[in-house]
Amino acid sequence: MTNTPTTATADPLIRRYREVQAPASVLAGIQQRAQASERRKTWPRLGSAVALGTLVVAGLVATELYRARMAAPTLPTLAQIARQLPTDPDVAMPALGSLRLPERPTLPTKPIQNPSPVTEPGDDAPKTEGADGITAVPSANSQEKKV
Amino acid sequence: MAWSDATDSELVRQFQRGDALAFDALVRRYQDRIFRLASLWLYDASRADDAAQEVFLRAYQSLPRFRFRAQPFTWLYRTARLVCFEMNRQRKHDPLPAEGLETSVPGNAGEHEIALAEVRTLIAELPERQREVIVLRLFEDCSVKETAAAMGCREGTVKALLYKARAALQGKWDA
Repeated sequence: MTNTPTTATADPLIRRYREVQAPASVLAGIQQRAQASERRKTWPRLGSAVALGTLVVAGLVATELYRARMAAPTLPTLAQIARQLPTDPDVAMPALGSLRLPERPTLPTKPIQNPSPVTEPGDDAPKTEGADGITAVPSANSQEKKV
Repeated sequence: MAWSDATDSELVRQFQRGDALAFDALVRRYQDRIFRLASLWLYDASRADDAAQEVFLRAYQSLPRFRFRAQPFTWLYRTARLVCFEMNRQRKHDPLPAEGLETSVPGNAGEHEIALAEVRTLIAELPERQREVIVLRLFEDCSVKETAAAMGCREGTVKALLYKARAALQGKWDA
């Protein structure tokens, strides 16, 4: 396909229309804008290089910080402590009595009220009155609870 | 290589291989046509050279990735339509308004400006699709197949639209 229509026409309007040409500024403008477009492409490349370099440096710094943190002394774990204990049976283990255990808090004792005396079977059992007035005889197996 | 004998696809392939002269040949081949089309579609015809530059600048950036699914001229035509649509929208007007096309010609206008203004006046009252067919088929001398590819429709549709457009212009223009 060519730029100018090839079919001849008798119509004057169509002929005059087809004679219209783009001004010379169009091609010159295209070339200038194409060159400017090429120049703009280099700047994103530089920006990408700077961004990539920044990421690399940040990665190196983070790696060094991590290594420094890992090298710092930390508390040993229980497994590490267990491994350090002597396994030789000839080595005396620390006596348990030497261990100082924390004192256990003593629980308060509740005073016993009205302790019942210990009685032999057949003795006059102390009579205790129940709530309904009937005298209740304690059983022969009842004993005073020792405190 | 004789650029004048090369087809559009050959020019694009040469440009894709890095030959800038092939792109220049493509521009020289279609700059007049794209300029004329932009003159008809833009609300402000004085910006037709800007529109043509924008079309070929986009071609310069996009043709390296062109996959030849369509003809290069079809791509240029649709890009020109899109550029004119965007430029008209910046002025908050319809892409191809049925009314309001600037058909007045300045006093110092040359013959070319007068011819373009007459064509704009002629097609101003046609619907959008009929305008396209009239311009491509009659004024730009595109074949039915090329017109259908550019407009994205079937060849039968092109013929039907052309028939209706001619009927609408009967009395105003006998071509």
